[in-house]
Amino acid sequence: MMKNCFTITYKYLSQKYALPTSWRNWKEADMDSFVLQQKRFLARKDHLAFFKSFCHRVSVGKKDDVVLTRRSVGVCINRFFYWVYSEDLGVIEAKKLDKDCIIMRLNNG
Amino acid sequence: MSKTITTNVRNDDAMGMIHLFEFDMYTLAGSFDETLRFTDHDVFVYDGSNEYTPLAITFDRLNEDFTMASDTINVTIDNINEALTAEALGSEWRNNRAKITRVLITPPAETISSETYEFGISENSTAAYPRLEIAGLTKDTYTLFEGVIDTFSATSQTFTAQLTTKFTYWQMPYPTRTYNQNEFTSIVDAISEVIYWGRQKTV
Repeated sequence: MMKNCFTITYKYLSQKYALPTSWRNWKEADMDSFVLQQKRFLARKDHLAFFKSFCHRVSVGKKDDVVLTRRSVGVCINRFFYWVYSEDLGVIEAKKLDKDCIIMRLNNG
Repeated sequence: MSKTITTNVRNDDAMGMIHLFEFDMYTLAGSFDETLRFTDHDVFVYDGSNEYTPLAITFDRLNEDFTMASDTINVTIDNINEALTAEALGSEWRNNRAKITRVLITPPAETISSETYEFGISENSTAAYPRLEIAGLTKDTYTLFEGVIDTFSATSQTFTAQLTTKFTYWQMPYPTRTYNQNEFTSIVDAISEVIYWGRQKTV
């Protein structure tokens, strides 16, 4: 599996929760297309629409909530921090939640 | 409270020092809500049961004297985009337990690109994100300060809390005016009106 912030987040959450395995024309087996066409997905805000299809928005985060920004997808650690895979560094980073973050809670989470 | 530091963490002078902060939060109705846990380390710290969130957090000099007079410490914390302000306004901080623990550790070995360094940056995470787990490390742990939160103030950038020792509770049953010397003369006069040489004044 190729790595970017979406694939890492999806893989982490799918180990703990039931996530959709298909969405529009995309199937879980096509995971690499999210990496290869990352700029297009981000520009179209597909990452927002995907999580909106099975999550609801909350104002205060908790562990395993999804954290969305314009350019990334991450996972909440607690109400103050979230982690996200950095494509530039190739490692997972912990970042502070800020006002630009959209926090989504899984409907079955 | 022991503050003995053993030599077991001093290995070739490589020693890491981190601080763990705990603040008890109560609801405004007065019942216990949760304990907020922070650390001044670079990454999350996990002691085997509790996780401490890494924040820019500092405290000023801590003094202890022979009389155990009430010390105060000012703790300044990153406000995390005013998240702590929201927390403080929705909960009760004052007169609740605050604790600062100092942990001295031997930084564990770390391998980066097949190169092993004897003392790494102390990140040995079993979580998805960088986290230091201190439960299995060689370490000395002691309580640096345990008291109560007295007051707090906040800006959009920082949150400042003033901590005092538990001895502050000793004053609590007494009304403040007991210590007001301006009233002392009138109090003595009032006593003199009814007491004369240790007996009730009859004349």
